Amino acid sequence: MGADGLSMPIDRRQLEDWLSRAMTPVEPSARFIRRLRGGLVTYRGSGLLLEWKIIAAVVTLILLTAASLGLTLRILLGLLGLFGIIQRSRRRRSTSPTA
Amino acid sequence: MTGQSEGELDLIRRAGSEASAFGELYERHVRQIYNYIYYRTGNHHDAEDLTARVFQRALRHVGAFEDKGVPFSAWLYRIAHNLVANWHRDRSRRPVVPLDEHLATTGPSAHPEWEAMAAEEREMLLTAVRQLPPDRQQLLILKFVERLSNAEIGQIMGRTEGAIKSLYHRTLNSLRQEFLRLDQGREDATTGGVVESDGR
Repeated sequence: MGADGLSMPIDRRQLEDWLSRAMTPVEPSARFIRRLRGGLVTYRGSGLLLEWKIIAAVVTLILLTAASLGLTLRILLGLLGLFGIIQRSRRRRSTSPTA
Repeated sequence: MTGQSEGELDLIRRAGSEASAFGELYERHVRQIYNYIYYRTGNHHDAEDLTARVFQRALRHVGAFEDKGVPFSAWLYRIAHNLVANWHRDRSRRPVVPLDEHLATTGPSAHPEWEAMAAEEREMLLTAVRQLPPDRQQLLILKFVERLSNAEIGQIMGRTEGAIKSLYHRTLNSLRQEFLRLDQGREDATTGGVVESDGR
């Protein structure tokens, strides 16, 4: 009988010896290690890609806004120029001696 | 004793934004975490699944990691511990390591019957280990699989070296009782079978 009143005695050293033999490091498969690493890097990569996509969208929006503002300004300037030409021609007509 | 080296700390800081830094941390710790999960679950399939989840979770939260003098591995072990606890809760059963997984690692032998007996004994011991509370299982895994000192185990488990020594002593006692209980159960089953066959 063992110290605990059980059927067989196991001393501490014997138990530690069994544990050392039973609990040995296991090696995960190389394929698993590689695949998981790839997955983690791609996951992080896709995160970076998303950030770049947002930056690209913001830059495109700024460029489009600037371009549309430029176009609006040009149209306004064109209209003003046209208005000036019309006014000048009217003034010329009203001040001409034949009139 | 510091939590981690400057090099590791630098990697952790960069891991939040650099894939290569996280990859380096992954390479350093994946085997430890895999072993921990393997001995807690008892099979390679779940060990792979849970290890992947540990590192996915670590990747999401590594930016928020704060150096409090605790090793980075302790942080990973805590994530692993939580996931394994959820795994046990989801299944609400005690998994058993298939015998062939251990036999497969030993290879061919001149004494297959001895090998079979040794494998059976080992299987029973590992079953007894998995009946222990999670912190005691972790202690045995860190001590026998990772071969860490009591001081290192204390850092990971957030206890003093003395507390680890005391826990180890109590763990061996309860493991011995659990192992003998399983052994007794096996013997009873065997003699019961013999009595039944004799009675026929």
